[in-house]
Amino acid sequence: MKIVFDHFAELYKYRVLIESLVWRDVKARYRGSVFGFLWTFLNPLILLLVYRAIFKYVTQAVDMPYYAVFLFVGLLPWLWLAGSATNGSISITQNGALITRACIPPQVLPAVVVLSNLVNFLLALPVAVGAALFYQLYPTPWLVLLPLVIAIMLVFLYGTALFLSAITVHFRDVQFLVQNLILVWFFLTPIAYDLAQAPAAKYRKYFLANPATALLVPFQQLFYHRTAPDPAYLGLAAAWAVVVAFVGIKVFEAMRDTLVEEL
Amino acid sequence: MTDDIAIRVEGVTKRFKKYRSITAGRTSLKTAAVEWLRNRRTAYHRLTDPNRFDVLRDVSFDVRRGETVGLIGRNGAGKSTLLKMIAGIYRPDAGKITVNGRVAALIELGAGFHPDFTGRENILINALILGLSKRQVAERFDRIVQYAEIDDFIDAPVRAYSSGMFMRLAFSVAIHVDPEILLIDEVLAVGDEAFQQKCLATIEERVRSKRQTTVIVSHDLDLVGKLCDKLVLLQPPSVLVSSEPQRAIQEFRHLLSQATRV
Repeated sequence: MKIVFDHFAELYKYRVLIESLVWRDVKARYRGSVFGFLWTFLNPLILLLVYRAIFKYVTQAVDMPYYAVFLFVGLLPWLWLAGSATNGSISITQNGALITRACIPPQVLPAVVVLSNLVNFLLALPVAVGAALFYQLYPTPWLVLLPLVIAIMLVFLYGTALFLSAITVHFRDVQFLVQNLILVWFFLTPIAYDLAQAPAAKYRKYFLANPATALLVPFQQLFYHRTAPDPAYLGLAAAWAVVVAFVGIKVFEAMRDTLVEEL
Repeated sequence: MTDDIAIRVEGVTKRFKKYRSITAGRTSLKTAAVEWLRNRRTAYHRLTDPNRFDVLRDVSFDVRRGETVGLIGRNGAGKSTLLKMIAGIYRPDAGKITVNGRVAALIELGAGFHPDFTGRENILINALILGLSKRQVAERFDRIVQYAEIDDFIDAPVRAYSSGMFMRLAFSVAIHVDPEILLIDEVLAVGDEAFQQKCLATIEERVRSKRQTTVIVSHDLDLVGKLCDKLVLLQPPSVLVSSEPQRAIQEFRHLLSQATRV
């Protein structure tokens, strides 16, 4: 347990640097572009329209009211997840100078990736809320649980990014593996389709073995179904988050001394 | 540790991996997993790993508070490795390094500089990385810009800087960190000749003031002879001589002449 405590104590000590790096990350993404910050909204919006067009008109697989809203509230946290995993895995190999030239605790790097993706998620969230309001899907008081849902996701993603970043230093193949698996993972997660409408009910338990399902469905319940987030999902998501974060920290700390030398 | 010792290096050993070919040091995921499981049982230790060699073995010396110590030796003697261990970047495989005071390292300048961001933005991040607080950066900001002599360019992205300007700004941030213990790896001076004189003058002034403890890695023997109170001559993988500058330099020159004669 001490290892976990020390791990976070170091992060806390460097919180000002983390904060500055997160803002720089957020700003860097669109620096130099004409639309600048607008891309934070435009990117998910364009993606949304493309997915919507495909699923609604091309495959016609989904028959759901307000499908755009459904898709959007699942897609935004998914983008946070996908960004954290893919950029998290290369966070140490790409920004190695910070830990080989200066004595910065290496966990700062994956932490910055997860947090800057969180900021992008939060900045795009008003678009989802706007779309919901447009279809007169007014939010319910359950929305007060949103910070909890986000916090669980944050813990899960931090653990994931830690694990992937450390492994990638030793096995550069992991970054390419992640990029490809993310694509498969997307379709295995009920984002573009509703789990209740998944082909056969007997497969549902397999979907629940996917942590992304437990993490993302509460977002859909809050914004689209406008119900309380299912406690079973929340519990499952929290369990995943704790386990992944714990394993992530353990693996990261075990590899820590070799990280600087392998860069 | 007595109060007048700033850095104590005790029996430090560091081992690095031998890379016989690009893949020799690397393992597949499967072998790594198998080895990890096996090593858990057989008490693997880097000190006995045949795939590693000693960069430094059983190195010991003290640096007193306010003292300036130079590390000299041939390429690959482990000078930079030692400096990085004092900075806390590497950990020793055996032995102990105790550091008494706030450290800043001028190892490679401009850590964390982002080309798309302005000098102003980069100063903040770079200074935070080197260990200043946000308030300290604000206090020293004007001095940093003035010292770097880049006034007009401070709000331009650093990718628009000439390489000299880039180095001047990076050096200026580093020198204004003003730590209790300064570690310098070769970057004693940057920019054109006039600016280099200024850098050296600043470092000399710091060294003479005796407020700051300094460890310098350099191949410029005349310079370290002039600046340092003591020189540590590394001959892989150990310390050959640790003495007042002139004796160590003499010894090192002797070593070099022997090596080149062959």
